[in-house]
Amino acid sequence: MIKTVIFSMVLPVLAGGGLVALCWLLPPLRKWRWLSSACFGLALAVGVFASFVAENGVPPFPPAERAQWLGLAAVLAAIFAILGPMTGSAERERKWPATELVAFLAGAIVAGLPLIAELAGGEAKSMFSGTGPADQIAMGLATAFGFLALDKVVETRHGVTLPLAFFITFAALAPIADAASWITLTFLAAVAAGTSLVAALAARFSGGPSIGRGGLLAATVLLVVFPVAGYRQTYGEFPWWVWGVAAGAPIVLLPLENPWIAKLPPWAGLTLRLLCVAALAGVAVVVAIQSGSGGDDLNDYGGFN
Amino acid sequence: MRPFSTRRSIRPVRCLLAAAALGSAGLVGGFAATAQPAATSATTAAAPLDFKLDPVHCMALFRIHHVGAGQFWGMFDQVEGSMTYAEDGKTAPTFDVTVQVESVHSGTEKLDRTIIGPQFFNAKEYETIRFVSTGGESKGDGVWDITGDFTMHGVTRPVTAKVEFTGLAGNPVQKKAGFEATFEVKRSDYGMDWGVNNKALGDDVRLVVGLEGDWTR
Repeated sequence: MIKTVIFSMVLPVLAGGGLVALCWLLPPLRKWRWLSSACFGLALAVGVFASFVAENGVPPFPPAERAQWLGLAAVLAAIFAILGPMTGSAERERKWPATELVAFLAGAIVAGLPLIAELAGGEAKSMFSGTGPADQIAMGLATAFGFLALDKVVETRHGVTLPLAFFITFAALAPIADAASWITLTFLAAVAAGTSLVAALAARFSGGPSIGRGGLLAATVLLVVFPVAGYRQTYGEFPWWVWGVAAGAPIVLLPLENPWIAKLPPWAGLTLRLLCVAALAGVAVVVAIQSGSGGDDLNDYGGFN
Repeated sequence: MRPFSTRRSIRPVRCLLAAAALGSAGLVGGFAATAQPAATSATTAAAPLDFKLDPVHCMALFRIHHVGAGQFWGMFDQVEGSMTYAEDGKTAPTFDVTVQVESVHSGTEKLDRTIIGPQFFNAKEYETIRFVSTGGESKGDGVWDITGDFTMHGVTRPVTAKVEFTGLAGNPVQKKAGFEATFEVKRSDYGMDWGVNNKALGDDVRLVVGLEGDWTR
């Protein structure tokens, strides 16, 4: 088990976290605006992909198995992280319909992933077990609206707020995935959480960089694909909304962007925002763990090796 | 009147005797018909009987090495399919056995969900495990080496199972035949390799399958 934890969690977090820490802490790199806006998303993608590869090998495209979409989602997150900053940052060029167009395109790509796989030579099959066109459209809409909802927050909240919010969210998804008995997804969520935490630490000591559109798009893709995969591919004995509430917890940051909260001291505002995210994610975790208990956690799988 | 009355009283007795004779002849004929394949087996092989697997009395056990320490056993209890068996034992039995992956029992519910989840059997994508025999070689004493195609986790590979005939029970109308098959596979050959490299779980899986089938005539 120790080897598994090292290769599937510790090293991927070091890879992803190291990347974002370098980009945000080293002054020459920090001044590179594109890189600064892309590195959080790239870090998430690198960490998640490394963890997936350590567990399951390099995923082919088109995927041979549905679970391989998790690794491919990391690749898509990396592409979005790279391309996101090129669409302009919200604070500089917020002109309709640029933001909405980016959201629509990102959503369309996520919704069309099975079609893209089929066009690339794969067999025509749903992205996950039991998913159909309606699910794909829902995933596309979740990506688009998730991006639209948080783009304004990304514009306003630089620094540790969003990395910590994503840390809480991914950290909540890990025990939920464990309650659903999917080891790989547990590790991927834990790695994304660890990478977000390192990013928050780096942000704390680097003048409050923004995660940018690249980071937001990458995180959104992962937060859409992870819960759908978890719900559709596993036999978790808790309701479907647990996945949605946990993954959608950062959305609560949007209504908190109001004049009353803005008047609070920064530390109080940050605490309130994170508590709201944690409350939503926490409810999901409690429900999942209570419903999915009965096992011996990781000892079920691997023991102490 | 007496002779007449005697004749009349004897008639029913004769009828009964005749009926009994006919009936016993019929019964003997029936047994003879049943036993006929065995009687002719000296010259030609008996025709194999078809059996439908009885899911209640079939099960598949698997054994895997856990963290390099103990041997862990689990069971699938939904085993369906068909088999053939020739009573003279000259023809190798044939098997078409399908196991429903979701019927796994490990003794722990959470572990059951793990086993059928995407990490291992991925039952939502690969609902069944199947063995279809392609040939067999007798090893004597009701034991055969049965070769066949074993499909698990979406991968089909040839395997050879040691199959032991465990008995034939019943009567001319109903028969039940039983077999026990044992074989080993490497789960990594079937793309189910989580925990192999870090030795969390062994690669070799022993399967012991208990089969009982009802003669379908």
